[in-house]
Amino acid sequence: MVIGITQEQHPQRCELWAQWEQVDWPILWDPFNLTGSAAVPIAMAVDEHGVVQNMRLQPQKFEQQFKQDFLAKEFPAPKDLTRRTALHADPQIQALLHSELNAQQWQKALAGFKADTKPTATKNMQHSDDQNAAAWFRLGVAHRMRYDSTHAHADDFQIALQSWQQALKLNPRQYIWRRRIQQWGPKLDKPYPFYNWVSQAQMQIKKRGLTPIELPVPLGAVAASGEDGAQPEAGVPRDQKARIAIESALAWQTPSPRNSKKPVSTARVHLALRPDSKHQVEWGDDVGPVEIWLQPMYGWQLEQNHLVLAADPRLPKQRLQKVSFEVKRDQAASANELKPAATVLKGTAFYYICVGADGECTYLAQDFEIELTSPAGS
Amino acid sequence: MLQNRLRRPTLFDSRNNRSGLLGAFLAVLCCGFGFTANSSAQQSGLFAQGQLLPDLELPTIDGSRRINLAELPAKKVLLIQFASW
Repeated sequence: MVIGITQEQHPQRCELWAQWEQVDWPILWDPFNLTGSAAVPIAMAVDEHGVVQNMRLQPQKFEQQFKQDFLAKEFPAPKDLTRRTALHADPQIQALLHSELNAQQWQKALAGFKADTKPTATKNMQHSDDQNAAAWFRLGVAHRMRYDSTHAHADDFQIALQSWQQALKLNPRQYIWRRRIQQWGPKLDKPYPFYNWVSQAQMQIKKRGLTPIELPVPLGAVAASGEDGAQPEAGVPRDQKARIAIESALAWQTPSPRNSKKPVSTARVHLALRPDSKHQVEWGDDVGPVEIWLQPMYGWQLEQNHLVLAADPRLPKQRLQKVSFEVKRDQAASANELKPAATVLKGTAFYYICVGADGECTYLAQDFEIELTSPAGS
Repeated sequence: MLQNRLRRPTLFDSRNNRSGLLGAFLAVLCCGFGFTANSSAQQSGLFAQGQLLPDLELPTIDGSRRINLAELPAKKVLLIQFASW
């Protein structure tokens, strides 16, 4: 039999892949990296007694390693029946893997994950550091899970990224954790384009007459179209009642495992615009899209300074709208001691919204600021 | 990562134990990018050569059931850790 274990935050992506590849063997979901593996793929041959006989099957040697050396052989029952135990039985992890939580349950679970990140005093310092690093990773996973739920807090995504960065700082050679950050980070930090098979998979699945598995969470970082045009007049009224909440998260490039102290210079900024559901705020897609203008900053290069989000009347009117763009430190300007680089990115979002059951619609603007502080503080 | 996809058998069938298993392996290798930290390592996290599978229960990706690696049927298993990124 074949069993897979996927090391991903969002299982639907692997579900889509399995649908595309017509996989009929079970694939287990391990978002918390409970296996403790530092990289994938790893293929193992496990005998009929449950003993791992080969940890490193290779495709070019599969015939020899798996078919001849393994399938054809009978293995004796093991004498040592001890097993390593994972944290899957931990109540916090159980809750997040198998349940829908309410707001209070989320609060309690995240407090538990946070408590786990406190270093524990043990004789084996390396073991303590490794456990601590894994606890930071799990905290990040939990915060990202809440961010993807209906109980999201505005800073959940940023806390997730910071927790993963902390985990990676403690264990720079953990590539599962590194990839968890990189899928949200700058383009140049990616070793290859992640999930670039998705469009083709969706197309081919549809050709078979099937409906592709839905991906509720957008893939990594998506940039909006940037068009030339003048910023709207300054007289646009400000959204004093915060009918739209603007949330931000910075995904800095991951430090090199060989030189983790070298300052990082590029980040992908993620913005999310969340309508106030209590007051039944909806996007005015029929009228026009959300536009965001970013102010140029000394010492930084902006990928774009004008972002236009898609306006589609067919989309849910209270949806969370997301966009991302990159910022890169200008090294020459940064070296100018007489004029320090800016540390705050400023921008303004302009949007059409309708409020309440009567649907009173209006055009508003909201100014925002984002602090640009890299994990190394440089 | 499409550019690294190998040509491989079309649609493996895990009930066909020969080509099916190789097909499963290659399909995952194409999409489960990453690299093993050490190609000759005999241990990775909770897994170690010569030792029983760990006590680890996880849900399936569609959430329909849970499987504990310590409670698998008495059969030979090809266990693949990967990711679809």
